[in-house]
Amino acid sequence: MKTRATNRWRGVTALSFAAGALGIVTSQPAVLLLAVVGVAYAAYARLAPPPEPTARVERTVDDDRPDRGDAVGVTVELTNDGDRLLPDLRVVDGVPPGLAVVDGSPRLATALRPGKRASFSYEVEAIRGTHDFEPTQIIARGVSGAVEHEDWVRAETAIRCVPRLEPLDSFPLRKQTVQHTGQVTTDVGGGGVEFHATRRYRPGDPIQRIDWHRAAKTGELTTVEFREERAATVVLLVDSREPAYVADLAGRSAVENCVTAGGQVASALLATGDRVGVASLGPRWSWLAPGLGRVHRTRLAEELALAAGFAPTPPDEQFFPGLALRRVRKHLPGDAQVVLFSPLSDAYPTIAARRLEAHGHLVTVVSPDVVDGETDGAQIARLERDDRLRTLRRAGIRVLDWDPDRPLAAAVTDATRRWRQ
Amino acid sequence: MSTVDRAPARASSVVAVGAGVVSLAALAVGGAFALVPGVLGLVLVVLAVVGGSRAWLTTGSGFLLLGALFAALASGTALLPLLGAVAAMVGWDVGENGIGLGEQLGRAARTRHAEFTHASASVLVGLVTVVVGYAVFLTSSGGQPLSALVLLLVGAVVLLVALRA
Repeated sequence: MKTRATNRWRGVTALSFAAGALGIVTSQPAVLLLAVVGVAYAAYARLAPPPEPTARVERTVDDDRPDRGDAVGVTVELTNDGDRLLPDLRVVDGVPPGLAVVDGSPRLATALRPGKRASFSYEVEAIRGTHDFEPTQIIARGVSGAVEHEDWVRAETAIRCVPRLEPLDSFPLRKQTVQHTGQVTTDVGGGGVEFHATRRYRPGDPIQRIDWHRAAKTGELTTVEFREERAATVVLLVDSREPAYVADLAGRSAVENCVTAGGQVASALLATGDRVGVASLGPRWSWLAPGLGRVHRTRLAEELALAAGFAPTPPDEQFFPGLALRRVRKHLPGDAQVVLFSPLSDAYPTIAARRLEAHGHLVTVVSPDVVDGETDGAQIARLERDDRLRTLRRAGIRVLDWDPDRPLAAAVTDATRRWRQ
Repeated sequence: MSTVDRAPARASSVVAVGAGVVSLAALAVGGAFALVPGVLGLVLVVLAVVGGSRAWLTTGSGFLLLGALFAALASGTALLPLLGAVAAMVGWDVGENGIGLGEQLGRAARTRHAEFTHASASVLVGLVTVVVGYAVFLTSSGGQPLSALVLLLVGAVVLLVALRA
């Protein structure tokens, strides 16, 4: 708590002296009388009672678990607990730094009689992550405004926004070589190769696949079929180094696009029975081992939304390129494919992708194109990015160049057509 | 985050300009001699509350006060110049408060209550000043007006020094 003089009335007495002097010099009582004005307001500034810090704030939030883009109403209520009027009470609510106010104002100035309340509300737009409200600033001034109290009050409120994984029909993985497939099948076989159908026995079907229960009941031989496709293990690697936080003209950072796309790809792959994990490629490390099922899906959504490695704000920590890549490789299961999400704003992701490919992980790069505008800088950035895309393609890595203004599904369809050729 | 409009609070700006107009009307009693700085002052006050500039507001109010002094000098009457000076002070006080509210809270915030409380207090102080000051002027002008008023001024200065301690 701080009490300070605002000094807004400084110099008002000079007015009296000016009028007094002019009055005496000119022997004009009417002029002399004007000296009263300065004296009166100076006295008002001095004598008006100073403010008392008796205001209390409470904050309520409509929904502390919103989905992305929801407008969340915040109401702040002020109460004067003292027994004197608070003539000038100014409140600035501590809106979490990542959230934008979309309606109303998080600020209020009012006068509060003893025991009365005042409230104000505003709306913020939820983005992913955990958002803690900052302390509320309360400034109480006396009626003349000569003295003010400043106080910061912390009311613990947080908004936690975990967006649902947006759906995507399909995401084509790279064809696995035979040796890998073998491994993948054993890996999945115990947990559950999906049941597909039963059909009439045909000579040559393996004996283990005959439905013997049914044979015993009816005497007919039927064969159980499993889903032909073999599940893959995929790790979604999101570039969250500082250069990846480049934003388009609308201010949406490429990491946001990467995380959204990552969620969509995860949702497509999980739906087809693949095991999906996520990792960050940046100074802040986040890792979720590949897994399956609804619980894993929820954990994956939370990881993408809340983990430090995918934070909506750029990291402050220093990035060690070699170390980060080694850390990723240490965690990757031997047969895992990698889908790397990066705006390719510098050369590092292309190096990382080729290094991973060289170590036997099949890599697909999904790159949101956030280069906007027609300035010289933008054109150079675009040329450099095109060059990086070419480098990757020459190295045999699949690249999905995606304009975030279009749905990811459209980019996937286009790219799949090209990859088939 | 979208930028906050930091323009001065609306109600205060209106009151400040209104007070400036009252001030100018009052010091019209002094004729052109007083009206020249008065009009200049009012224009500056209007520009100040539009642009949110404290320096212009203070300068504008200063010109209005100068106009009030000239009006008193030229006309020799007390009431209207006193009213003009008080209105200039009210305009400055309310206008400055409005600029401060705009800077601190922005125009989108609800600030009416605080503004009206501040403005009413300022107007009240002004009215008391006019009534008391004019009453003293009237009573003292019977005997030896100037010396009595000089004494009044000395008393006021002593009071100020005491308050400052």
